[in-house]
Amino acid sequence: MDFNLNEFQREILDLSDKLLGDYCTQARLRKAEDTGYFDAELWQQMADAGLLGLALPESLGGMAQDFETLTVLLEQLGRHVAPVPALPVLATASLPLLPYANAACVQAALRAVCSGEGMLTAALVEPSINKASAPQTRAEGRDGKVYLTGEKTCVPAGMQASACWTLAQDGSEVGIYLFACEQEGVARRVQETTNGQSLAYFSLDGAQAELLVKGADVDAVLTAARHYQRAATAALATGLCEGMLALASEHCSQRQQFGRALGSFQAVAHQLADCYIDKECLRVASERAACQLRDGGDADESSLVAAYWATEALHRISHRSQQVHGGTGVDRDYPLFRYCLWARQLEMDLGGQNSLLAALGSNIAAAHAA
Amino acid sequence: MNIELSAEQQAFSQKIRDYMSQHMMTDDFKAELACEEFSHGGGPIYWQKMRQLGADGWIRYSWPEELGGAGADPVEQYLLVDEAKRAGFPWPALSANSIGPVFAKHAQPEIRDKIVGEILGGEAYLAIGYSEPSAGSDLASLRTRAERDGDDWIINGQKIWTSCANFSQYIWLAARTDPDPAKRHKGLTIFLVPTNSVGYSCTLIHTMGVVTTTTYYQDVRIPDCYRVGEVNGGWPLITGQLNVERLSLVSYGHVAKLYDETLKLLCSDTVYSELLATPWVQRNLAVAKARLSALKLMCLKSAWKIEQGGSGMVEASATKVFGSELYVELGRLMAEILAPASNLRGAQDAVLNGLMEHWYRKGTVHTFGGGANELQRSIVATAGLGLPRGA
Repeated sequence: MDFNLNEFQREILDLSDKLLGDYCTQARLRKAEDTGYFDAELWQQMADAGLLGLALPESLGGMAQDFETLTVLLEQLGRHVAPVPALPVLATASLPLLPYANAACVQAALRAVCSGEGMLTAALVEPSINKASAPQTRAEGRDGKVYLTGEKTCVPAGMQASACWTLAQDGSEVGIYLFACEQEGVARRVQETTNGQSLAYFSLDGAQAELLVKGADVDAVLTAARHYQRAATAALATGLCEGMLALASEHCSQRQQFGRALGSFQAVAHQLADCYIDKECLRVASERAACQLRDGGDADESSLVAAYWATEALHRISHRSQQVHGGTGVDRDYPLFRYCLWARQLEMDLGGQNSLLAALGSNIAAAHAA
Repeated sequence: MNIELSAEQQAFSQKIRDYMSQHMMTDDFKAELACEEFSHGGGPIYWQKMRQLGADGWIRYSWPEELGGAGADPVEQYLLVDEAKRAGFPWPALSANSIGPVFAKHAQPEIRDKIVGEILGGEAYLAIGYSEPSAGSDLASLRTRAERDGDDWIINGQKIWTSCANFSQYIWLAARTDPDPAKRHKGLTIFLVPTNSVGYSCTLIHTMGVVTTTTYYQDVRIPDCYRVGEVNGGWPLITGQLNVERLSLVSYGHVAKLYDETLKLLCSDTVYSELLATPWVQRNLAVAKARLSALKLMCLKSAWKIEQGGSGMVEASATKVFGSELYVELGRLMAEILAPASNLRGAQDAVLNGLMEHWYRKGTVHTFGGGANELQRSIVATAGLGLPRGA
């Protein structure tokens, strides 16, 4: 048992903290709000520092580090509310494709992620309200090529992405397809979302694509994507919670009312103590999921538990942090609101707490059926 | 980072689990513990088990080597207590972990070796006499007096919630030796009072969960050699209890027991299949599982921090609050699944041998015992978050 980071991870922590400290100033973050909360210069700086390829293979320009090391970076991104789509690009979209990295199109997409020249995303949501239904998007072969037709919504980093993978049905068979975003068959429009990041709505009308996976392997890729999304969100959320709690503690130490610091009132201090406990629960759950994904084996339970704690801590800490700040906390000239909007974004991107508990509960029941 | 126990640590846990099930939690002992009078220990089989526990070296296990212990690290100490409590053994936390080693370090030579021998041999138990009818969380306001009379001390006063005093050989007593109440915690001294002293008496308090006691001290005369530590120097001995001890109050195995047992019951027979397939039942199980997973890691990480040389104070306080409130929450989540039968008592009807029913009755003490959660939250706020101290 050893909860310490290794030497390399500490270097990544210091490097990213320094870089993000320089780039995530209030002035720059405000400016990023005009561009879909995306700072292209910071993203390129991260690429140049090797951070975008942190967990991608050396042969593609990456640093070949494990997932746990990537979570060190993700936590710092949360701590600074960095205006970059690292979570969907580096974790959810890229890592599940590593088993297929011998395909030329996957190699090209991941190489572009490492260098910053391109961005890979995954379009996992369709407009249909029924979340469990099979994808409505169709794949059709013509003249030895495959074309996709259908609609995708809430695509993270969708406006910046150069490549995207998604689900489609060829006849009755579901497959995973990769397509270039800049092509005639792809129309995308920006979708505004609560934390200011741009998502995208994709209308695919004969978008040329490559089949990556079909049959049973589809589930393996989707499962991996869910695990990475959940665990990576927990790491990012840990950083957001640290950030919110640091602001709230500082505010309550300085702000005087009734002739005393706010934090000297137990009703205030104890709310923040509860936030601290939630944050520490999230941290250990996140660490466990990261180690489990690093080591292989079934990460279903640990990533669900980490995601549960992310939803719990994000919701409770953001509201309590707002509460102890009073009006200051909601003022857009004060940094707290960005953390809170991200908290809400991540919580719902995970599908919400009850869907996570339903999945966890059904796993427990299945494992303990008489 | 490696959040798993090492192979040695896992083997250690397994060894304790086997030891507890094979040698300690025998059927006759379980039957004795089921009697309310002996539910904390004190019955004839309890003393047999304690002597065996001592002879097998487990009471001394986490004592420092210089005090005659085996010098187990805080993680091993945590695992030992965790497994014992998971098995349902009334672990002698006070003599084995918190008070025993402090006594051995600060006791006067005239009595030390004899009493340390009794403690380590499982022949004597110490009860803690801190709380008084008018001194609970504000311990420094306690009023029990000890006055010097030649080579002796005369003790007068009353203690309450002196758990286990009804079968203990000694009371680890905090008394006021400086009559000036303004001195507060600087006027307190620790004494070890033999429970066979003239003027000492003990009455039972029947709580809704367990039996505890009130202890009375009427002109109890004890020689100065039973004073522990300096005169008016008692406070550091009271507060210096290891933070790992606080962790043990809410150790994972202790809290998870109800979840483990409920799940075992649900998969023991197909009559429970429909229940197990019910969405809200699955949700209750999932909430319990997600929160217990965090408790397990919080406990281990806190013990690891202490092993690494940290004080672990904030971690232990945070874990104590979380674990004790989870204990209460868990009692509800699991009981709901089998309600209304979850409230049944008696050998014929009780679910899980009564575990489910008495969890609620016994569990409420966890949030205020071992340092009220309000005090723990204040520690987290000031030491963990740097907030200013309250008024």
